[in-house]
Amino acid sequence: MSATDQAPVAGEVTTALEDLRARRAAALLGGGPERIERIHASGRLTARERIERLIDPGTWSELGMLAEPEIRRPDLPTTGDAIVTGLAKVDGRMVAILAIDATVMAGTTAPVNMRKQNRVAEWAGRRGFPLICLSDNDGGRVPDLLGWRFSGVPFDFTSFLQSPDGCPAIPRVTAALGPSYGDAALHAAMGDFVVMHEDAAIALSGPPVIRAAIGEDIDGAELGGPKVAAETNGAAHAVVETEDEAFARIRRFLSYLPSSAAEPAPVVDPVAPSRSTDTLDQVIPKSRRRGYDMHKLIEIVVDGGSYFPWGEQYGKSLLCGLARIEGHAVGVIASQPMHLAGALDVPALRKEAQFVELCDRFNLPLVFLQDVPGLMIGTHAERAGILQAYDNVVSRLARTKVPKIAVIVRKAFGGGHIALGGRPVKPDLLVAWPSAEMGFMEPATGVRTVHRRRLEALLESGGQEAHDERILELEAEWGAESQPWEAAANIILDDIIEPTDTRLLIATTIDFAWGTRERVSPTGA
Amino acid sequence: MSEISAHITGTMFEVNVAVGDAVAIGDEVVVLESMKMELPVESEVAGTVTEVLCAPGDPVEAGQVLVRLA
Repeated sequence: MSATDQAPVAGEVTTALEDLRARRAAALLGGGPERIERIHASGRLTARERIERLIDPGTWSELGMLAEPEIRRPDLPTTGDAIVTGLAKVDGRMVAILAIDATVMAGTTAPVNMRKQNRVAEWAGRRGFPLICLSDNDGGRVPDLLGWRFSGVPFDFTSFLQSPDGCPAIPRVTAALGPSYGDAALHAAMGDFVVMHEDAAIALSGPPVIRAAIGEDIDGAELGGPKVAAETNGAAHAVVETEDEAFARIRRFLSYLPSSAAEPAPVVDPVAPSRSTDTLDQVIPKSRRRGYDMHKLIEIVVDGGSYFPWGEQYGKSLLCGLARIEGHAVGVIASQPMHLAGALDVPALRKEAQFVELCDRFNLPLVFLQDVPGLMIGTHAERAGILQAYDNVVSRLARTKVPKIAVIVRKAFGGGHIALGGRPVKPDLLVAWPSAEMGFMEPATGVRTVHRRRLEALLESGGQEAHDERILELEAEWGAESQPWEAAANIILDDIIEPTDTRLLIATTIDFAWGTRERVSPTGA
Repeated sequence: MSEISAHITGTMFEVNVAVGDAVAIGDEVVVLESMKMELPVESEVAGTVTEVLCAPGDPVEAGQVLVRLA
C-alpha cells in the first residue's frame, strides 16, 4: 500500500490514479519534515516509524489513511486526522494497531480520529486478535470537541474498551511513548499490559488543564511520570528507556497469551530452570525473620529466562509475572519478603486482582508461592481501603476457572494466606514445604493479643524478665500449632512436599487440573 | 565507583564489610531490619569497599547510600 516514488505533487494531477498517489504520499509524510524533525529532536519516533519497528516486515495493511478532520485547517497538515490505524502481524500473529501521530495537530483527538480508533478496536474484538495502542498525545482537540460536539464523540464503549457482546476478550496492550493525556490515558486504563517510556506521562488531564481548572502547578513527570504511573497508582506495568525496548516488551508479553480468550495459551518447548534446585538451601534462610529475594525461588521453579515481571514497581510486597513451566504459560503470584516482609497492602492486592483477572481471562494457570505474614494492618491500610481490596481479590479468585496451585514456602498467616490461594478460594492443589508456618496470626502478634491482660498482670507482679520469658514460652506454643503437620493430617493441605519437587509437581498438577476439558476458561470466552 | 543503597526504610542490623574488603556480585554487604524482618542487601557489582557509611543500629532511609565500592 505504499505510494510510488514518482507520486506527482498536487496541482500536477492529471488522473484519478495520480490523485490517489499524491494523497497517499502526503499521508505518509504526516505533519511534514519540520514537525517530524521536532519529534526526532525530542527523542521520539513518528507513528509510522513506531509501527515499522514493532511489526513483522511487509505485513502492514492501513485503514483510514485518507481520513481528514471534520473541521479542516487549510494552513495545517491534517492528514489521517492525527492517527495511523491498521492491521499487521507481530511474530506471525494478527494484531490491530492504532498509533497516535504527534506530528499532525499534536496528535490530538477529534471525531474522525476516534472513528478510526474505534474501527480497528472493534475489528480486533470481533475477529479475535490483540489490539496494540501506541499513545503519544495531548488530549482532545479544540474546537473539534467543543460544546455539544463532545457528547457526540463517536467512541463506542461497548466495542472500543472491550470486545463487542458475544465476542471473546482480546489482549489489549498500550505503549505510552510520550505525554498521554485524555483518551491516550484511556488506552492505558484499558491495557492488560501497559509499558511506558521513562520520559512519558500518563494522566487524565495534562498540566495546562490542571493549572487552569484547579490552580495546581505541576509538570508532566510529577503528575504522571514513571514514579507515579509505575509505582504509586500502577497505571503502567513496565518502564523502559527506549522505544525499541517498549516494542520488545509488547512482543514478549503477547508471546504468553492466546490471540483471544477463546483459544488456549500458546505452548513452546520446555527450558530447564536458570537456577538449580541445589541452591534452594541458600535461597530460603534458616531464620524465619530473615528476608530473601523471591525472584531466586521463581528462577528455580520456572523455565529458564521465562519470567516476565508485570507491575514490578507497584505493590512491591507481591510479585506478579508471566512465566512458563515445562513450556506452558502460567501466571506467577509470589510473596516478596524483601518488601513489607511480604505483607499484602492495598497496592499489592489491587495489583493481584488485576493480574488474576488477566490470567483467568486468557487461560493462564495461577501458581502461588506464599511467604506472607498477613494482610497489612493499621491506620494507613484501613484508610486506603484494605478490606475492599481484600474482598475484591478473594471473591474474584474463588470464581477463577483456570488451574490454581498454591505452595506455602514459609509463612502463611491470616487473610494473606487466603489471598494467595488458601483453601477458601478453592485451589486445585494446596501444598507446603516442611518449613511452613500457618495460622490465623503470626505467633508474636497472637500471644500479645490473646494473653494481653495476663501478660500485663505478670509484668506488674513478676517484672520484665518473667514477662519476657512467658512470651517466649507462649510463642513456642503458638509456633508448635503453626507447623504444617496437623494441616496435612486434617487434609487442609493436600501434602507436604520436598522443596526440590516443587516444579515437577506444579507441572503435573496443571495437566490434571485442566483435566480433559479444553484449556480455555469460560471467563473471557 | 559504585554505591550500594538501602531499598527500604528501616534500621541497620548488621554490617558485613569493612574498608578494603573485596566484594563479589551477590555478596550480602549489610542487613537491614524493617517490619521485624532482617533484609539482606546484596551487591549488584564486584569491587573493593572504599567507604562504609553506616553502623548497626543506625536508622536508614530508602535510597540512602550505605557502602561505596571502587
